[in-house]
Amino acid sequence: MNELVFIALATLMFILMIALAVMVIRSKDLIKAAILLSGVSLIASFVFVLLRAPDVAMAEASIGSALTAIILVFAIKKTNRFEEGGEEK
Amino acid sequence: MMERTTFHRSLPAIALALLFAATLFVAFVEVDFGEPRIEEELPVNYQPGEEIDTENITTPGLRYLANSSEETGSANLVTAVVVNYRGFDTLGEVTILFLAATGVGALLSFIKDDDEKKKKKILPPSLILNKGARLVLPLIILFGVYVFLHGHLSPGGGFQGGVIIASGMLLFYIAEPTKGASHKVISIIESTAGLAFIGLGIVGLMTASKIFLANDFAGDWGEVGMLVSAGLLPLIYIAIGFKVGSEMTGLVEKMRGDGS
Amino acid sequence: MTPDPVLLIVIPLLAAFLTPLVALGSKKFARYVPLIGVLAMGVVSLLLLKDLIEVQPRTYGAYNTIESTTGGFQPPFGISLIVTPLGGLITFGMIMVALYVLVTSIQKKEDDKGPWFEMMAMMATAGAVGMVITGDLFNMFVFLEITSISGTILAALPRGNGEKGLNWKGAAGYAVISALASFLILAAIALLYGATSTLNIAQMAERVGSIDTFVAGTALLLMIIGFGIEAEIFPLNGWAPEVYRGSRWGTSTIFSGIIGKAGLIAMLKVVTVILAPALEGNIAMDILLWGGVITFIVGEAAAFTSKDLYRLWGFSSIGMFGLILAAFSLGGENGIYAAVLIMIGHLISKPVLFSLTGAMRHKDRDLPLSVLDGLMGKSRVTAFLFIGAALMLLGMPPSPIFWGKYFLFSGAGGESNWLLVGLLIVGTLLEAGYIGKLLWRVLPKKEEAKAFKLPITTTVMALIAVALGVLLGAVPGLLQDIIDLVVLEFGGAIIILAGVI
Repeated sequence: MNELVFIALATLMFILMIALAVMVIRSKDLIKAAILLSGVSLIASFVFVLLRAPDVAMAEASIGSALTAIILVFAIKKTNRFEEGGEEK
Repeated sequence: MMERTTFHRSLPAIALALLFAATLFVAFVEVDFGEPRIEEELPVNYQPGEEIDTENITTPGLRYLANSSEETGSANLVTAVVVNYRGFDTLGEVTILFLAATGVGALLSFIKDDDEKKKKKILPPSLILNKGARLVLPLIILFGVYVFLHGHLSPGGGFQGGVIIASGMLLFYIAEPTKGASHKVISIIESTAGLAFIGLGIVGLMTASKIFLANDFAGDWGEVGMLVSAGLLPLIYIAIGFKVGSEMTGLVEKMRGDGS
Repeated sequence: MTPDPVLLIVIPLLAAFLTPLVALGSKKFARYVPLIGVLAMGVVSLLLLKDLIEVQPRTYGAYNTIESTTGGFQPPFGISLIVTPLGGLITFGMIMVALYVLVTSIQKKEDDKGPWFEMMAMMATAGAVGMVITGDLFNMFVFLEITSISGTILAALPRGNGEKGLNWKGAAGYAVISALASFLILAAIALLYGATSTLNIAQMAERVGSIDTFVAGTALLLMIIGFGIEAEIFPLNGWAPEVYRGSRWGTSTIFSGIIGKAGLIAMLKVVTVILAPALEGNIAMDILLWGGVITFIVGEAAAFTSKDLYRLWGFSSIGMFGLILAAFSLGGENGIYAAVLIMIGHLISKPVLFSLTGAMRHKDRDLPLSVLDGLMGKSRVTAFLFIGAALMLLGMPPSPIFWGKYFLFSGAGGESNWLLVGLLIVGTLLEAGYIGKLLWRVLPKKEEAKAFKLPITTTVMALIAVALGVLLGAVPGLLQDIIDLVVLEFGGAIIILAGVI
């Protein structure tokens, strides 16, 4: 791959990841936060592919973006969906 | 409003965090990752992929890069490192997952009673989700099995294959909220696969080298790149695949609880 | 015959994978699987310890180690396990503490949910043993994870029969802070791996020259914070009181006797072998020394003001961790003698105190000091065991801690470090203060007091432990051989240090 394309793509991915991570922290809706978090993992797995680590990418894609998110969602369903000061008490 | 008042109080903490981040950043920039540290160790006209004499080499990474397929019979370098050179770590990682899954189950068994009263109505899944999941589930499981069976040939392995199977089961749980695999069966598969991993390690203690997790049959079966090759590595990856798959399925199942 | 040290890890893993299978058949019988596992570990570590002492090294002044490798490749290519004299001694001590906990708690039906306490106790011990004997930095991280996950589950389990509630507060605090510790240690390992291209601790020690000073300093900071959290070093121990207060006595014993000790030894191993040589002068050891002394004072002061018995013993453990760390970092023959003797005394006396405290059940979550009022009238055996263990902890002769403190004061005095001597005296006085306070409550007889019966297993185990402590305190020469080997081991580290500077 062209080095310039590689750097541009990687930078774009990192910016996206940081933006998503900030949205996770700011979100008062925990289910939304969990889903955004799985987005961070999905982009991370793309970065791993760019860095030619397909083994890690596979693990990250399935653990980070599928299983972790759903376990978090199950846990949130057992407690409260919204943080204090959110839309619903 | 609340954020305003607490902001200046958390300033020292933010400053400390920034200082910490800056220190880490500088330290990590200082280290040249991926560069061979000891240049003189490599032969003069070294070509990547060429086998090197292990007598003259002390850096583990260089030996892994050059000699892994000859020494372990695995075409996938990552598998060679994960299951053979550093197999003991992998056994530890599998144990960590096992402890986490078992521990979550144990803790949930203490609070289950309080949850009974909170039972909610289960919404039936849509037709498309239900039928689609039935169509895709066998394919996902087949793909998971492919990934862990070919761990020594192509990217992937026991962990990845197991997790893929578990995510297939997850889809099944969403499509069929009332059904689920038996806890007992999951627990038996989990424990048996763990015992199989240790058993394969003990095989190494019994055979020629008398070393735990040693792969003494590396070159005995098949050639590098064939499905039947790499000695015990594929067997270990099958055990890990079953273990991780059943563990993650069990974890999702336990977290789901009864119909919520 | 020397057993392979890898058995110390393989046996508990086998038992752990077997436990859920057995539990499907009989939950009652499954409790014994971890007990058998720990017993087998004890036999292996005893044989290893015997070999370390008896097998003479080839050259005079050297010490013997027992090594093993995994994966079929010699280190540094495969992961190696190295049992050094200190490692062998601590491993044996930790396994004995685990055995004490399991044997004492097996008779009482704490809960009928399954053998989870026993299994997690065994795995915490296995992880701690792994951290102490591993020769590979990343492998140490893996064992740290095993220890901290089983520690989290242990901390969360309810205190006992009557109580349903899980100790969420303690467990959540420990889970978050130990995840942070793991991250920091992993970052430090990444830095060191990047700088030296190896994870083998011995090989890394040979290559310290290629570590940049800034990188080494950062790694030192990360390692001290990370392992300091596990070893409950001030100011990184905010999570500890809540764990000690809310969980059952066995959990408290495992945190104070096994998990904390392993964190301490792992920190010492990484700092003395890799990081201290990579940095100029004596900075690393000085940080550890003064961190240890401050932890000692703060821990004992907090114990002095504590109103809850569990918290009091927790703070007293924190103080002891500080004292042991300070003694090790002081170095020299006196320092090492002191550290090992204090560690042995603490390993013997703390399980007794925790188990007696645990036997004095109380309805509330807190256990006020007033439960001790008139203990002498309630149960003479309990009172005698309690007094014996408490005085042993304080260092009243005959006690290993008495000799430990004697060597520590001679070491600090010998270097004319009068500030250190003064601080140690302050800490010891605080310790004497709260132990005196407790004895003041135990001793007077109250006629109206209801009789209190100590379970038979607790009595027997506590009696054995106190007798062992008195024996080792009266005849400390029994420990001479192994402590001399530990001094040689640390002397070795000091020689490496001098060679680099």
